[in-house]
Amino acid sequence: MVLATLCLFSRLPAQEISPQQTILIKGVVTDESGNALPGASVQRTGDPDLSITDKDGRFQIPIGPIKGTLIISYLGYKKLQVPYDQSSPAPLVIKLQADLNNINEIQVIGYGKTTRRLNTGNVATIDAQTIAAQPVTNVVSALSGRIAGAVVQTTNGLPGGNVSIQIRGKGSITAGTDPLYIVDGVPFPSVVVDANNILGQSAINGAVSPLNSLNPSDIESISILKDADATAIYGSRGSNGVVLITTKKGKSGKTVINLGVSEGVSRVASMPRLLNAQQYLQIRREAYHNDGTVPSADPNDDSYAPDLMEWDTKKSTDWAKYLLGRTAHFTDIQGNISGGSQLTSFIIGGNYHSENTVLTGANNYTRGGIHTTLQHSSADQKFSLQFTTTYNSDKNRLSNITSNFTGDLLLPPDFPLYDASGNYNYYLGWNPLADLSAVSKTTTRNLNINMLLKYTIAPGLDLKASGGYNRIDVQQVMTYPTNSQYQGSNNFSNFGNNSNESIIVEPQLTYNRHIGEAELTLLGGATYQRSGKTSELTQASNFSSDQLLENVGAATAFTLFNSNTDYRYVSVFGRATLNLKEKYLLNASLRRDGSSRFGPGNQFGNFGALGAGWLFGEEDFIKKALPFLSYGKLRASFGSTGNDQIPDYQYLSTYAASGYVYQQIAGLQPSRIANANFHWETTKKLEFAAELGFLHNRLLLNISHYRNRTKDQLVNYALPYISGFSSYQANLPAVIENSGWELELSSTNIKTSSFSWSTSFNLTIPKNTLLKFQGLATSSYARSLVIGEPITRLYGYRVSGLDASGLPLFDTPSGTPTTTPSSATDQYYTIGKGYPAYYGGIGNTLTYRRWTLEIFGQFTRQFTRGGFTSTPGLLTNNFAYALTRWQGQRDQTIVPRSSNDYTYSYPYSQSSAIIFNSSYFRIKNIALSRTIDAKWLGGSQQHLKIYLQAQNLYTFWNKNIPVYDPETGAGTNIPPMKTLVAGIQLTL
Amino acid sequence: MKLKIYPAILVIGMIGNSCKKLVEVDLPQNQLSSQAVLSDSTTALSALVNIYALFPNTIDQTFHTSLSVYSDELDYSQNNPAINEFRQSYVSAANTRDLTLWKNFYFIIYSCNDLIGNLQSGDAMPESKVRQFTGEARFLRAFAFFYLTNLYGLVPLPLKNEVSSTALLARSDSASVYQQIVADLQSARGLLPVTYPSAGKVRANQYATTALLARVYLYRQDWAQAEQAAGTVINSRLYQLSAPGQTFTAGSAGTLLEFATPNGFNSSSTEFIPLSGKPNYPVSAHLITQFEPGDLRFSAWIKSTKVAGTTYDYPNKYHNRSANTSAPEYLVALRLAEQYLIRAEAEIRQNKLDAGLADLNTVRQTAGLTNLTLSNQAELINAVYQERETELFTEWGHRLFDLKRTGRANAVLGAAKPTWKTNISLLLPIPQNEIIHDHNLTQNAGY
Repeated sequence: MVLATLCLFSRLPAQEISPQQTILIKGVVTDESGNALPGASVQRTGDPDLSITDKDGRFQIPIGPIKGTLIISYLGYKKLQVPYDQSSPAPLVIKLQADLNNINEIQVIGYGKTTRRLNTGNVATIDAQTIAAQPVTNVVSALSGRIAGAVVQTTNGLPGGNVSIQIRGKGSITAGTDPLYIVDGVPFPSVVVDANNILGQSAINGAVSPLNSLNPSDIESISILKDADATAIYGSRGSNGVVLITTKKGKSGKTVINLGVSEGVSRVASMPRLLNAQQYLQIRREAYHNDGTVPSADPNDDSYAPDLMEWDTKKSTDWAKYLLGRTAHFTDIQGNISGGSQLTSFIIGGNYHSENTVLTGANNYTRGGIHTTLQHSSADQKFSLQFTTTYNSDKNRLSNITSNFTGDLLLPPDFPLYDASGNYNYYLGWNPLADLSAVSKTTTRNLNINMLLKYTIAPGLDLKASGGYNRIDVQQVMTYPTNSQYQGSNNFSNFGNNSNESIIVEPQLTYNRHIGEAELTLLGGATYQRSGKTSELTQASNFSSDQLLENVGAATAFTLFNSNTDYRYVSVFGRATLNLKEKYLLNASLRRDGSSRFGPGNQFGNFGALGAGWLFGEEDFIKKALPFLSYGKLRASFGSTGNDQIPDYQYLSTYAASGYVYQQIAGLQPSRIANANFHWETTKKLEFAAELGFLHNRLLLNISHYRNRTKDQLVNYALPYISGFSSYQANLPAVIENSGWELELSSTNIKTSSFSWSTSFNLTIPKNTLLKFQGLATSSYARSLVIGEPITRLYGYRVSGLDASGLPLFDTPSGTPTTTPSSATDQYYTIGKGYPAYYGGIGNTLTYRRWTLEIFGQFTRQFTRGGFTSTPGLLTNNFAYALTRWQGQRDQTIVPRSSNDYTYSYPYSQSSAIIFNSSYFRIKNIALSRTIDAKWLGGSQQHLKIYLQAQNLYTFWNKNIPVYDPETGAGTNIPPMKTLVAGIQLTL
Repeated sequence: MKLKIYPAILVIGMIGNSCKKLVEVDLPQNQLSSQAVLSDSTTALSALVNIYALFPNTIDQTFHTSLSVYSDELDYSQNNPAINEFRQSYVSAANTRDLTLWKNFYFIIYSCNDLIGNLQSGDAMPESKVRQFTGEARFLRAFAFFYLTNLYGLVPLPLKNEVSSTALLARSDSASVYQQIVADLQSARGLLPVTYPSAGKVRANQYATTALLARVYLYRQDWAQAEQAAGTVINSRLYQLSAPGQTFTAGSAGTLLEFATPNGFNSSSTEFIPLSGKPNYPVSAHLITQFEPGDLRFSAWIKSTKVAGTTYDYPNKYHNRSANTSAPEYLVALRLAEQYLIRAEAEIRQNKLDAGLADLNTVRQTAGLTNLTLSNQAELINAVYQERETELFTEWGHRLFDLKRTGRANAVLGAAKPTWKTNISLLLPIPQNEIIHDHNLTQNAGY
């Protein structure tokens, strides 16, 4: 089909030469205010040929009949039909009206553009205005709650922390579920820098996301492609959805200067609710009372209780406040200049962002960068060029309390930082003061360059070539001074250097032609991508002084690791789009991909999709029958996509340096269990959707139903360590289904000349099911997966209640509850789904003269694991939830009695009893702004915008459950921040 | 119009045969193909010594502390939950140290399996090297299986790296674990020469193999074979008992095998020896009482420190707690004193009381103690037990394994620790991860 497409292209130029007519009709196309619109298409009805306006908006078209009609169309403007009469000599002046109706807004799609009206796929878009209203450091956070079908989760609230996005559910057990990120046409490595890979150890902010190095203010729009129709053009990488990020481009005209400054403060959105000293000590005393023992001050006694007998019980520290109680400040400065002539335009912007954190210690995050775009076209509009360069660099210095964050948080409130002899108190195995003196410093540098060349060979036939280069360097130093560790351990530092370089070249041909009442658009292209990654890690220890921990030369013992990978990827792809009478839409795409991540014989895969749309609202009988319906479209798509987010070389059996040296011989050890047979996984996506507009599109409603089935999923197939490794790369012989309903609603409630009120709402109801698993009963997953249940299934022990003495009773397969469950047989009950029942967002925008107020809320209904990892009474603080423990009466509670017996603490912490309803409604964003005329500065365009923004202002949820924050859960993750920002923006 | 031709060619070119080449990548610079590694004696040696390196670099980090607090040798002055469970001798299946122990030993076995039977002789690999390396790998595999079975009971026995079968292994039957260990050791004994293959005693020779075999026979209560094997080692006259102060310096006369440490110190020493303040693992009051007055081992191997008026004893067999290249210390795996005690016990069990007493007294003399003059078999056995305790404390789990193999663990540790669970505490739980991913594995009783 691709070949056929190419053959078609090659014949085309011949047709263009044919017209012999000398009679021309001339005209000019402009916008409402008279500015020329270059690139608008002009067509005479009944003639297949198109004419395109030049830089001054002028066109000339050879005509047949003396009288007729011209159809003028321009993306983002209302299509216009203009009658002409050859006898009138004056050139036509055609004014197009901007189409502010959002179904005709331009939508960026894979390798092209369309409008919502004409799109056959499922694409959601967020514009610069929505991004600007949110004070986020990571641009992905701005999508949170706003896209149906996408779960955006702040996995760590610290700057630089990862924000994960999952589009339409988890199709994979372990392989990457990240979507494909494309910035201005260049694939952007979203997860290269998991600190675990370079340093063997994460920093407190978790995996470092390179997406942090994108400056949110540089971004014009973000499109999220979801269904087969939209994603199949990305073939093997489209399974998890595609996120297209388009950066700002310059606009021709007067030179405009934009300057913005904002200042803000953040605090942890919700502090963990822990026991205070009095409650803690009472529960501890109760434990000894219940156990029939007496707390002892003798360290060799089994009843030794330093917290009751040795430490000063009158002193109390709220460790959550101690660690996370700070107020963080941030400053953001943005500026850009844009402008240009009709042929050449540019934008040059710079940004600086600085913030510290809520975490105790000298922590700060700074980011700075520049963004430039240059656009040029030749005078005849045939050739155009676009060149974009973005360079951003960020530096992140954090107190690195990684390993013991939860432990420090749950220290007994009377825990003294120093012991009797003046050393750090290490009785519980860690000490917050010590932990805070470990430091992580990360520097990320990101250079993104891309170029788009376009040449119009003939009207409607464009040859394009895009090329991109991306380089990300991450340097990380983690220092662990002697006093940051267990007393007597040796100081050490980890030095990590990671660089990732990627080039991509994509030649494309597009052809657009009107044939009768049909418009045909063809696209053919190819991709060549090559990425190389090198990592070096030096673990150096025994430094002569703690002052020299960043000087590797001062260390006396070293372990070195390095790795490098080479990834290559080639594709050919094609797409054909047919638009018949603006009513019937058909879109077919096909892609053949080859990836070096697969072994010989398994490198290539074919992917493709078919999408169809019917604008039934345009049919006369519908218009008559349903006059209130202003827009109606039904669409469906079906196709297959893949996923190659797996590590390189997994098919090779190799040895690599272990980093160990044995008597001057450097050790080699097996790298992995190789598997020569794994191959592409495929996801078959099916979608049906209805898009409806009522009351002149003041009310727009979209309902989609999707069903994605993933087969031969590429997983890190879990293994017992008996096999030598914990996993290997393999295809899971299973079919996993992600299905669901998505609802999007937007309405303009009131619109007058001075006041407007609009509302948007989205809702997603997802479902995940393991449909099939060949040989499940004899596989490594026999105990963890169940057919018919989600693959995200939470399993564990099941607590049915408490016995008469307040001990938890665990269900057993034999039916008799026990207080001493078996880890072999009693921990495989399904205790949760592992994904939300539904989620969505609701936003309101109110405008009154120059005031704008936006309020956006996000909601999720979910049941998640709480952080109640110790039963009451043990020598560790606990969530305030422990107050509901059993106290003698066999009452409603399922929280066991207070006791020093830890033997049931683990099964309890893995049981149904710690699954909580952590549903929430979060007021995610409030933004208030006012525009002030600044004519006093001269000129007409000058204006000043002042704004106040609040992020994560308030959350409605059950605060009594043992969870830090309903969004990040209860792990070691730092909860999200509540942020208040004030800023001004000046346009000159 | 030239512009339009080139991309077209490129597109068509990609569709053709060149596509395959475009997605071919070379081996990364830091990786070698397994086949190449195993057919060249230089790289195969790198793979082999890496297995030795795993002991000081991975096993030592958790093994010695965990096993010493599990028995009654050492106390634990901190409250790290994972270690605390070992101190209380009841470890949950999710304990991270339990998993670390298990996976480190199984990775050693995987590494050995990769060499055994896969080493390719040829131009770059003489047949003699294949025999040498195979012998060492078999010894190391037996060493790992010995610890696994003593910690976990009847463990699965992966002998070939075929993921389709190793991933689903069930426990072995009661005969086969020790059968395999003995088979590996006997084979290694035949393959290895009496000389050490490299400088020092950092790689196994024939006597190291025989010494481990002696211990295995002792554990199996095969007294005659234990006596004979230990006798072979002792009578080789290659090793001499050394004064307690010198026993643990690298290359000591009394050792048969030492795992070389990368920087001249053991990671467990960093845990045992305090830099300042209270030791994390003070010697238990029980162990102190086992030493007779004048025992040189007490003064050489146990040190004390005074913190805030209280005196704490800590194990000090090794002295280096940080890098020391001038006087390095290696992780001693097998020593001659144990062989004397194995032979003494085996002889006494066979009623060769005089011979047994003589071997026992040889060890006592080295420790500066007077000869015993016992003549009752039961008393002699108890004297060997006590000697083993004072000689081998904090080394390789000897105390715990001795209590278990002689059937005294429930009585002794049950009395010492209220948290000891009769019979259940005799074995560690199979780690949770293994139970979840291998449905053929059964859990040890009580977990």
